[in-house]
Amino acid sequence: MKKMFMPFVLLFCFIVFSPITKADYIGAFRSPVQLVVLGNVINHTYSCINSLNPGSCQSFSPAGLGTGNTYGGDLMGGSWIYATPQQTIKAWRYSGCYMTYALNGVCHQYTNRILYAVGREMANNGYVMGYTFSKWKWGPRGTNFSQCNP
Amino acid sequence: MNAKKCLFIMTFCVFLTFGGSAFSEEMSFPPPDAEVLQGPQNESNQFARQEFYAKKSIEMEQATRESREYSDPMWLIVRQFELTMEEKLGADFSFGARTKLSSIQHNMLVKQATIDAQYLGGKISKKEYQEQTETLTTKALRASAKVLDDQQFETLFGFPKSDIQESTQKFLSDTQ
Repeated sequence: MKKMFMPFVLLFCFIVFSPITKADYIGAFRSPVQLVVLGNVINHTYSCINSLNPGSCQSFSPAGLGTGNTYGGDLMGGSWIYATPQQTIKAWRYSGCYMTYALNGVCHQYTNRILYAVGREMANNGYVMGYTFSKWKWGPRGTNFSQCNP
Repeated sequence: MNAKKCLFIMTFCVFLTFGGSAFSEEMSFPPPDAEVLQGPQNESNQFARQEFYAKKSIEMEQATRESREYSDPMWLIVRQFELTMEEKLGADFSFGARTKLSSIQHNMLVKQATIDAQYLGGKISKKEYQEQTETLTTKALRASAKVLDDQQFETLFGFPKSDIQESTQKFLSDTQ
């Protein structure tokens, strides 16, 4: 009788401990919110970890680092990025790394910090207005990113 | 071997192969961009090109972190922007012009770091900080504009040379 249950026990263990069932995702978003920049506009960007719930979305605005301040937006690249549990932890840690707005970077740099945990960076394809200027001024992940430890 | 044993062994093998967090680093879903890469050839090439430069930038960051060469983090930003120059203006973009642009950017970043330190140290007011930052940024953009022709400048920065003064002020006033 015990042996009969063994496959089910193993199947249960597989479901519970499998990395597939523990999969996390990170999404980078371009917000419709725009600022006037260099004669055109810059797009606000932000990142969400695992869901679109307000607490999962990380944003950086003149008000500082925050959650839930998402303004809606388009998922960049068209899909969420798979993250291992370790990468998710890194993403949360990078998201908490201190920045001063327009001194260390803007929302673009903050979004790239979270994407760095999964080895990604926003594409330089004109989809996010003002991104080239912000990279020139503050780098892809902000001027103080060297002080951020995962 | 009876059926129960056979089922047990098969299930155990599946568990060993796919289960357990020990495999979590290696396992991944198909690349999220797979669908995009199946699109038209030209778009695929463009996408692959973007991915290539983004990956290069990440690798540069990781290599610098691992080697702990952060004596001058400004150079990392400059090197990463050189990748943007190559991506936007092509690999055959003049080496001399690229060097000049990098030098202008590096000088701007170093001076900006000084202004940042003065502001954070309470030596200058927020208004003074904004004014100095705007002046410095505008000067650096104007110096860069002299190195590039109109088309190159707009391709790289996404706005025409004529918009430098007004746009920089607008941008900085909106973001601070």
